Amino acid sequence: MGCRRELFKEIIDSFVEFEGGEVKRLVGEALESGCGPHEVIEEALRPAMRIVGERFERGEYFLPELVEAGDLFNEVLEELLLPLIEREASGSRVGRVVIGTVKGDLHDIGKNLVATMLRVNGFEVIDLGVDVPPERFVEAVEKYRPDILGMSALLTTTMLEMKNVIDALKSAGLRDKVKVIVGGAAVDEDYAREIGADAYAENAVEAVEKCFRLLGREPPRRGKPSSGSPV
Amino acid sequence: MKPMLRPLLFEERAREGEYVDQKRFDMRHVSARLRELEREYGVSYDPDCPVPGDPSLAKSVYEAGLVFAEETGLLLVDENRVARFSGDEIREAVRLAPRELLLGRGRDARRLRARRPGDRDKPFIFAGLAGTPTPLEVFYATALSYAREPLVDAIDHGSVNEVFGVKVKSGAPSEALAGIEELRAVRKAVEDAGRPGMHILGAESSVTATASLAAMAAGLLGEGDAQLLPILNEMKTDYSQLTKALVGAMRGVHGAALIDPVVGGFARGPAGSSITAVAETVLSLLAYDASYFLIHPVHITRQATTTPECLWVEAVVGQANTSLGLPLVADVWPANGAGAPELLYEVAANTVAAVASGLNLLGPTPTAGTAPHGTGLEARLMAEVAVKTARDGLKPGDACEAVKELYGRYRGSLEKPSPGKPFTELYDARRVAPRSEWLEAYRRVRAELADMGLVE
Repeated sequence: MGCRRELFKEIIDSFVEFEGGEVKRLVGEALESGCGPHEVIEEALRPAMRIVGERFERGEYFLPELVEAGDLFNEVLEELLLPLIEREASGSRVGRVVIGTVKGDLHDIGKNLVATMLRVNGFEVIDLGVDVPPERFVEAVEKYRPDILGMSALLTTTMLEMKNVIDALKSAGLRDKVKVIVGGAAVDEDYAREIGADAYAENAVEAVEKCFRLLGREPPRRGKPSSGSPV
Repeated sequence: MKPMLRPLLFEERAREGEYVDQKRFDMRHVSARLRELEREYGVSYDPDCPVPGDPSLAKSVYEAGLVFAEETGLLLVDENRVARFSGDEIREAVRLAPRELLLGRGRDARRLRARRPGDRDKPFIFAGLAGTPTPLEVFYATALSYAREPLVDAIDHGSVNEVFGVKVKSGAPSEALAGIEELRAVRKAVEDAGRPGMHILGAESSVTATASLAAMAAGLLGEGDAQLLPILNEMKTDYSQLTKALVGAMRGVHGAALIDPVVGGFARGPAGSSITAVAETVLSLLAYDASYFLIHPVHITRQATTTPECLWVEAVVGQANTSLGLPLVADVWPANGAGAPELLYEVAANTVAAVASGLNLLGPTPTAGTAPHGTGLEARLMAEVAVKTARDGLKPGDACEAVKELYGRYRGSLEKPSPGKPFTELYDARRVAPRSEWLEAYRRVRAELADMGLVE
């Protein structure tokens, strides 16, 4: 039996309306018909996420829809697709990112956008949330062994915590085991350099590009999917 | 009877309240419920008119806002617990709230009133860089440029982000000192402007409670002044804000509640954001005992209040206030910086929309608060447009065409706003007077606005 590609359109249609049960049923059917997990990801799930991103940019969808889409994407990936994929051979995960808003800062909109955009682009993201102290960043790096650590701060008074996190990584002997990217309204390129981060991103799109480059890979064509929001 | 020390009562209520994790609160209690309320009350955004004039829309936003406030309550993030208040408690708090406040001291005191759409009295004007990180080197001079403007009634200036070479950190001694330095500079500015009793909304440097408490302890923020008390996005507060509110209430310092739903965020689009703003306004009475309310919708990607979506939210909330009768103030946060003529069109559009809808004004804060590229001159223009809009008794529906016309003149700049120029390039810092380049731009745009009937 050959892969029933016509199911991909149905998956996309259900996905962009957040009909989770239907998406999972259709993905199951597609896999049974002989479609590979990569095909489902590349030809159904990522195009669906792109549509959600475009609707967000046009003001038709809002942040909750982006979060919902990210959650659904991850659920389908974790429950149905990853078990079928040999991680090394699959290439389905571009890399693993641990992300969080630094201690004292409760702003998470930009950080959430970055996390979602990274997931859309094939990264596995472990989101530590907001108000994350340095020791929790260090614990997460030890536990998850991510390729990249991302930190966000909206305020000039909280961005100073980023340096504490980098120093904590050094002190735990982990600094050379992970790339560090920073962003947020208060942060700029100079500050990133000053504290010894590997990269700075001005917005969610740039964050994705920089993360690809930190892993020595060429990023996908800019603007697809895209979001110009501040980190 | 008005209960005493509302922040303490709020703490007590929250600690006994339902435990809800933040993601569930954001997604279910806030966003999902807002989507239902938009449908139930027929609240929808009309992109064709940023200043809708339908009183039934405003009434629906008011009613939906009160239901949302009662059902959802405020999440105390330190405890992950929700403080809820009954409809009767909310209505009682609104009923007891002052409609009019005397702000400032002595001959410099001014009245901030609850306005209605089309009111002809002069709107209350707050001016200043309003929380923009501002170096101490230009802090005093920029503050003086606003305090010297005769139509400006009160000052709300920048935040200090570095003291004696030390970058300010939240909750640290540097934040305490930032609050003290900020208030010292603003106090000196209002004194040197010959308006020592001018109302100050201060301790913008207070990310936590530290800077506000330090300024109060140092006697620099006291009776007749106000402190900023943000509601956290969305429908949340924390112990820092409640502590500030409690100490402020005991010291006679007014609470200025910052109501800043993120348009496109968990408050959803303009419709949900307007419902959220009404709910957050009434809950800030119960949490902070706030005296007045700054309505500041933040666009999720562009930040500025001059986007059509944010203008719409301010206009609708202003009109919904007809049912609340509270002293509401519209924040004016243009995308462009001073020195860019587009900034002046943004200021005019935002002012007309807000004043016609029954709001007072605060701003303009250029570059949406990211760079201290602002001067008293654009505050002058804001006040002049406000006075004319009020004097003409312009009503919301009548304001739509003028606002759309002005929007057309800055629309293109929203994609990549101009940062403008530093204060010292636009003003003679020694005389604290505008340089000819910025003055000419102001006069040119002012003449265009006069042709449109928007200034005298």
